[in-house]
Amino acid sequence: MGVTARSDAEKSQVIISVDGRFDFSQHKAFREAYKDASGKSTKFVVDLSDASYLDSSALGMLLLLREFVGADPKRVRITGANEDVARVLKIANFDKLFTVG
Amino acid sequence: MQASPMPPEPLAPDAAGCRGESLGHRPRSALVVEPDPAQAELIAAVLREQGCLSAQVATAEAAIADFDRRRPDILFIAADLPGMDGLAATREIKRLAAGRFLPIMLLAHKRDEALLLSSVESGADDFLLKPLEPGLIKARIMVMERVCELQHRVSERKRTIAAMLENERVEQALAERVLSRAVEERNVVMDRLDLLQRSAAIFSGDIVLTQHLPDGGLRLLVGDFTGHGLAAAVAALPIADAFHAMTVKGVSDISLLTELNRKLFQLLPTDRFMAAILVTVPASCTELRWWNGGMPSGWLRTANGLRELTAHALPLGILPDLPCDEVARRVHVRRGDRLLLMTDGLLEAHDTQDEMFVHAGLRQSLASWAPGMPLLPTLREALDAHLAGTEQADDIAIVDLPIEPSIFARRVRLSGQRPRVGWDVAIVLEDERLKSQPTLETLLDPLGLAEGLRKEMVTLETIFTELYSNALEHGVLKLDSSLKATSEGFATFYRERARRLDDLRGARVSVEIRFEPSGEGGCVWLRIWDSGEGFSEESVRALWSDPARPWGRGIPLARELCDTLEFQGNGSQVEATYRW
Repeated sequence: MGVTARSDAEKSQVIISVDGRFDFSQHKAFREAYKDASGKSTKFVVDLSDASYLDSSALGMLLLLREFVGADPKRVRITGANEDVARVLKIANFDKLFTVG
Repeated sequence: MQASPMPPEPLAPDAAGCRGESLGHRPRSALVVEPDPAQAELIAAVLREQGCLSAQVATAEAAIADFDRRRPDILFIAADLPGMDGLAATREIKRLAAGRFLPIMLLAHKRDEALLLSSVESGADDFLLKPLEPGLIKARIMVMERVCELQHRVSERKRTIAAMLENERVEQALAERVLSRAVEERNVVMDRLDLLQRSAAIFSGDIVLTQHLPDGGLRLLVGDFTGHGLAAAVAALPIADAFHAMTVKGVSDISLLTELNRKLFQLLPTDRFMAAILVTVPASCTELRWWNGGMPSGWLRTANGLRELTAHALPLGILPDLPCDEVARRVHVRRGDRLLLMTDGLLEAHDTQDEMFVHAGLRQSLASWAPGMPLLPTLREALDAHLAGTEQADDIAIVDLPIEPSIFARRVRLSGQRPRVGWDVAIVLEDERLKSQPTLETLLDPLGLAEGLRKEMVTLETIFTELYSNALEHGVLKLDSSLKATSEGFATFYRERARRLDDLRGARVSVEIRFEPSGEGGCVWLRIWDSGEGFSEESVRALWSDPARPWGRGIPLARELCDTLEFQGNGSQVEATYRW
């Protein structure tokens, strides 16, 4: 359970992996994962391969990350969503705000 | 009495800040259960020195029988007693104390370690070894004073917190009542729809709003704010205000959504938003408009099957503006169809095995949905079975709406005392809209205007249909009526008509109808003009000389019925009057 961040300096990319339930309890860890990166240049990959569940507060956290990168849909990619997680992202139409897949 | 190694005063513990408070919670009365009078007196003497009254009994039975009357603050009890022993008595007395903290000191003989252990298990708080020494007794009493003091403070704090929580709960419940009334009080026809609403907290983050449009049609919004509780609930008020005010004025779906989105974007922080599904059923009851931003699919059960209303837009309050190409979707409906809307709390409701309702009961319930029947009772049953033994994690709202005339606003009936004043109505139909032919009845009835024309409606309807068809088929679609001379051509005409209707871009038929009452009768003036290039009136006039032709009869018929009929603008505009 939890959020881990790996920094790939070469690609100036941060990979944030969420494990288990992606809900409000991850709020702090998720924020920690990107707050020290440069919002202007870093790309982010949110890897949800190990996320079992995602609720609306997690959608809110993704919106905060989106705000952090200046609302550029290409700078945040969401990958690896399982069926339940993908359903929530699809219902929220988050493919209009992020690169999903 | 032996000299005590402890100073006689002070009695209160030295713990910082508690001396003043502690004076009130020192043991005031003690009960000594000891068959040996000498030992009992030894304890009583120390207690007296400490300012504590004591009573002495020789058996556990006597202590228990007297317990409620004496209500001691501290109890000394010998392990060896005739009859019930000290351990069993300790258990019983702790039960009688019913949660009140009562220190019990067990008096035991040395070297009986097993007994000491079981004394603690039976609920004794400490023990004194025999033979008793006054100094030790005093020290133990002082320790117990401290424990009493701590216990007292803990239970005081518990009481304070419980009182505060209760106060908070009452205030929240009151605020919730005020807020939900303010949000819901203007809703309409709530008795016509089946509704299930369950909140995870006192405040619900789900809202259901209903209001009538000026034409009597119904607009319904089901919304789900991020999170739940007070923060989610407060934004509901301005949303409800805007929804009702704008719907009553007849503002379009997209204009309403644009305003709601703008309000929410201003009010809510970045990570908060409202998913919403907006449904409008015009009073004609032939179509339903819907817009789904981030809500689970709505479901429309028609006689022919199940139609899914999938989320196609972002929730409201995320972006500063709605995309400019946003449109409400349309779907045909008939009386007797039913609509089911839900929030994601239903889909994600977990059972004890951690399985979500969307994978468990929902599909089966939808599959079992018979046309024209409410689904909510089935769904409620399946949900209750699914949730048995769990605690609700999110707000749940389900709306089951019948598409039937009773959901619309009752029209103002003009019969009886109908005002004898005229009116003027204009309508413009474009492209897609031209595919189905309007009738005077469908145009005027929702406005309550057909009433005054009722007696002449058949004639008026004929005039209107002929002139409208003429404008559409010849003006807009440029079809040649002479095709209809043969039965083969007849089929070709209508095939071609359908094909051209499918292809329309920027085509338009405008209708204006005016009514002037006069005495018991009146006059209807009708003008129809189209976006086509017109046709020569000469050719039209030439047609009505041959009564046997199977085609080209519409205009002559209308001319027969009307008082006046005039083409203008090269035939792309026609004006007719009819009096009675």
